[in-house]
Amino acid sequence: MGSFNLNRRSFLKGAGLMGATSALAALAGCGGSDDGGTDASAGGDTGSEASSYAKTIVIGRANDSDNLDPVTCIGNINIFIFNLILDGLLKTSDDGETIEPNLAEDMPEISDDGLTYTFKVKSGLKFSDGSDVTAEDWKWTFERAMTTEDSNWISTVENFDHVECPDDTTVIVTLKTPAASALACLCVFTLGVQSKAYFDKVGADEYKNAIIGTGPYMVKEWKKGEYLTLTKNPNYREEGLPLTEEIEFKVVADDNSRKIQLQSGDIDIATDVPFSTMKELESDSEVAPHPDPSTFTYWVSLNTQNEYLSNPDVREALFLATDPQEIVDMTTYGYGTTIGTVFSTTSEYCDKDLEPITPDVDKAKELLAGAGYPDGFEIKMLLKGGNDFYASIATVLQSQWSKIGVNLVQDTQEATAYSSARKALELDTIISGWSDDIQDPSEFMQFIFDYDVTHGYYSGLQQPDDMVALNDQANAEQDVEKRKELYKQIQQGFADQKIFIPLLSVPYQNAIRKDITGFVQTPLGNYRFEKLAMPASE
Amino acid sequence: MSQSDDKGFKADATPTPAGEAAAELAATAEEASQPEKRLSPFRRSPSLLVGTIIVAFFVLMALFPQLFTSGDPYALDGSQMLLPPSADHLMGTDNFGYDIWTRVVYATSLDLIIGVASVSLPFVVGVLLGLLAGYYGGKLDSIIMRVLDCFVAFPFMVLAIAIVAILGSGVRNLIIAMWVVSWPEYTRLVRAEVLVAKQSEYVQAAKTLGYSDLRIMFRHILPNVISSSVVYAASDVVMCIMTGAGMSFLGLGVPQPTPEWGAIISGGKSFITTAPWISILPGLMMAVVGLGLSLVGDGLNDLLRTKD
Amino acid sequence: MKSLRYLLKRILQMIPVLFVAVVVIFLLMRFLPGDSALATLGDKIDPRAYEAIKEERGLNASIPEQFAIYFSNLLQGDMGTSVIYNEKVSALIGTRMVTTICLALIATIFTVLISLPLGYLAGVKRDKPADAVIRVFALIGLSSPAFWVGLLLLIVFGVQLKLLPVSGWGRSWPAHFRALILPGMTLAFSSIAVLIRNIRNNVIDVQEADYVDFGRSKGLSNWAISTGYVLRNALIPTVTLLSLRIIGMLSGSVIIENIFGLPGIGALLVQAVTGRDYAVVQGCVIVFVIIVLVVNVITDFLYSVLDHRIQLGGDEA
Repeated sequence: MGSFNLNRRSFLKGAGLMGATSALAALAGCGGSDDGGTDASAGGDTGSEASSYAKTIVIGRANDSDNLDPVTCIGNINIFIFNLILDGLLKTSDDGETIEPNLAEDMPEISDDGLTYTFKVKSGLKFSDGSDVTAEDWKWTFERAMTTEDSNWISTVENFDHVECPDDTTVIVTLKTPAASALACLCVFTLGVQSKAYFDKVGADEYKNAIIGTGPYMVKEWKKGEYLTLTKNPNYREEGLPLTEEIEFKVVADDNSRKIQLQSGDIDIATDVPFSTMKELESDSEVAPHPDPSTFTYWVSLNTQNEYLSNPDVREALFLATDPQEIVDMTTYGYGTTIGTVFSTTSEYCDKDLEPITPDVDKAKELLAGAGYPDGFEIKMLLKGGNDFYASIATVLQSQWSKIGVNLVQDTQEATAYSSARKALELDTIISGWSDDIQDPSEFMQFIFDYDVTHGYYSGLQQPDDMVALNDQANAEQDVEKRKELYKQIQQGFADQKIFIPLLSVPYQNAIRKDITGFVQTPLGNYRFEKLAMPASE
Repeated sequence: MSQSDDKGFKADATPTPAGEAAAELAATAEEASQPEKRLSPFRRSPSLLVGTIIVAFFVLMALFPQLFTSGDPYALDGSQMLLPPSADHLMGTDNFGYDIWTRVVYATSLDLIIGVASVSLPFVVGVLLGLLAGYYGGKLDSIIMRVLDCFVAFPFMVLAIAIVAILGSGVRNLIIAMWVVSWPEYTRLVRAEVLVAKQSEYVQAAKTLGYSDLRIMFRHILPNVISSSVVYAASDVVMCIMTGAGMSFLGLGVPQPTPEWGAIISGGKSFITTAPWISILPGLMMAVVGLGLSLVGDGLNDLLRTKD
Repeated sequence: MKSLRYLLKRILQMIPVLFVAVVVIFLLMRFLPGDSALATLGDKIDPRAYEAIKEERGLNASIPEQFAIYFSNLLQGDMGTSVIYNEKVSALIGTRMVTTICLALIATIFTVLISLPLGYLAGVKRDKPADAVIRVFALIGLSSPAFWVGLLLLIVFGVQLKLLPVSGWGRSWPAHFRALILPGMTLAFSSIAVLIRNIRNNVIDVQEADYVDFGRSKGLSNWAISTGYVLRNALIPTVTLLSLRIIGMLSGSVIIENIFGLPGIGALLVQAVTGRDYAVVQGCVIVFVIIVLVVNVITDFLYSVLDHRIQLGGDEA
């Protein structure tokens, strides 16, 4: 950003102008060749194809990764980049709608009892250090994911009974019970094949700092808290990919700085961009918001063990006092979407027939009066300090609920105190959010149905037997249509319980330079950068 | 030299500047009956006059916010988001469509309460400890000063965060955190001056007359050593409000949507490029309050020293 | 010899303080709700993983046991490992200390470079227009929240003029320097105001002192009087004040580093408290106490250099 340096932005402006002019000339000269613009976009620099792309693309993030070991890591900041380094047998498609083979030659052969999945693996696979992928690596990868005690992701693989690898290109996974979610679970990042020899060499602690896989990139340098640089895997199985040699994840903690650095060309992609900034960038000439759909949904959990909230009429009154559209408008500047159920909107099992709440203040007041609280009451909402998005939702809710006399008090706690209060269910209401780690609702349902994990997602409600039965059926059902019907009933059940006030879903908050192509973030959040490229600036 | 500046001089055997000042103060106390003292304090110190007017203005605003704005500080308005200052919205609006001027006005009472409440207890406790440490010296002094050393060894922000994390956020706990972090300054100030005052003739005289320690401490020493703490307290009020703002910045201050200056300023941080008025204008108000209190402090200092 | 003994005494005196500070912060951290396992797990907490991590990090041990383990390691020079960064605390603090010390240093330089001439000028031009302007400037500086001043500087120099980086630390020394200018100014702002007022008053006091008249009567030039007598004598009390401000700056760095995204100890400490990264919190506190000690000792030495009347090793109560 030096005042005396020609910064890249102004340089590109010039280059863009040149590009536009030559494109015009090309049009005028040969009357509309399709290739006219592409050549010009290389900035007039002739050379091999590789050199027409920028060597490095810099991505600004609010936080740094803290653990690159997929099995022991926690948090999206780590998870999102695993698809760059690791490949599993299967993967979700870029749009998140289907599951496709990745290192497997094809989709697996499934035995008639639905318990055994047999994969034929592509041959000749190499890790980024040049060593061959062996049967031992596959077996070790699976077993480590399935047995590491302090892994937060065991639940996604706990239906796997055992894994056999008779040779380097065959993997046979045996389930405990037949489950529709098995294919989705096989896409989970902990099952991306990793090198056992490397792990044995460096040990578990060092493994957190760098891992080796078969993905398009490998770790080059990591200065913790500052930047993490990935470089092209020289042994990547697809010739000519990835297009960009280096990806640098740079920590730019401050939201304003990240925006300014994006605009000045210090970074090329910004993540965690506040919605207000995305709105503002819509009119920028160089960069643009890139709201990829996500699985994120937000709702308010009402603790049914609270003296007021134990009354279903009171809960319904709060539903009717809530205006999700106003929340979308005021907190996401239109980027969010109102929802009628807490299921991820990108999931095929999301019941789109459930409508977002239509507020009805009069009816809400009636219900409250009927419940014996004509003058309302005071209630707290547990919030995490420093989370501006949650705080702004709470502020709008506070205003909405005050119309029926409910005084919502923001109980903001420092991050760990917040987790601790949440774990002990020391709360009246809380803003909850969910994002899937697998393209299947079973993981989410486990968080709600297994009371010990989240107190029924902070509703304080142990799900009744009929709901539990529905969930068990849904877990086992292989037929997608029948399964949809089961999940529909479950979602209707939540709606009737009035424990989760559905608010909104949001897209990923990215903003990128307009000349970048191939930026993919799947609904699960995985970056896919094989074809990510930006024209070289020099 | 200005009293409000010597925050916490350490007392060495050599005369410290604070010590000299204290000696001067002792001298002033003895002059208390001179005729020029009868002049109105405001006439003798224009700083005090200006400062008092400013502070009085804000006290008025705290007591009668309706006189300054007709708006509702809690009126959220989706159609009025992020508007720049105008005749309708003197300080513009924020991302909730809140009228910032209205919120700044309504925040005055809370902020003044935070400032005064945060300072009062540390003032009393800090001065007492300083008095005891300085007067008795020896073991008691060592113990008090080592405890103090431990307190000042932590960056106060960290101590404040830890306390708020233990107690939870909110105005009351914020004030408690402030109590814990701000007493050492007063103890240091008073102790340094007591060490000097102890050697002065009037104390020696009182001792030879056989007065009790309590009487000497409170009747003879305290009036002569307290002025620098009073002056410091005026600026400490501003510092406490600022620390509260810092806590809001970390998300641990006064929760939304309660109007509070620090919270308003930090709430505007996400919008400094698009709506800088959210942070700048309320900050300006705080600076004016600070100016008022600093002037009062200066004025008191002028009055109490009267060397020139 | 005497000064060496004095130095030794000062260091020995700090040891119990250091110990108590470590114990206090150790206990304080254990009083905080939640633990590092909970902090690490964040939003999706699997109870099995939670228990496993607690066990692995030794959080199930009693508090005295935990302290005993920590303290015996500390005596062997091992400050432990960060659970957030998976790195030795000593290495972690080492790199961040450089940032914080540079920040405090640059803020100190700004403070001295700006307050010295202005304070001196105000003093010698007492009650002239220059004095009035400087005093008003100082009053404003004293009254403005540092946090707000930081935002203002950010808006003007970072956002509007785009002269200086808005945040971050950079990767080369020139970049570090540029990154430190705005936070350095912010941190220095109130200290500048305090020092200007202090120096001004000291200059006035000294000018009125007898020895200045004596110097004049001996026919010394104004310049010689200014530098030789007035400035030097006026600076003696200022040195102590400056050292207190430097210690204050370390505190201020906690907020400033967060505003400007600097990877220093202040920011690390806040993060570690939030993440219940006990070993890091302890390590940072030890470092802070040591810095306070070092600044105090340096101050005493400077004091003795400036004022020959002062002998080190006097009774320190």
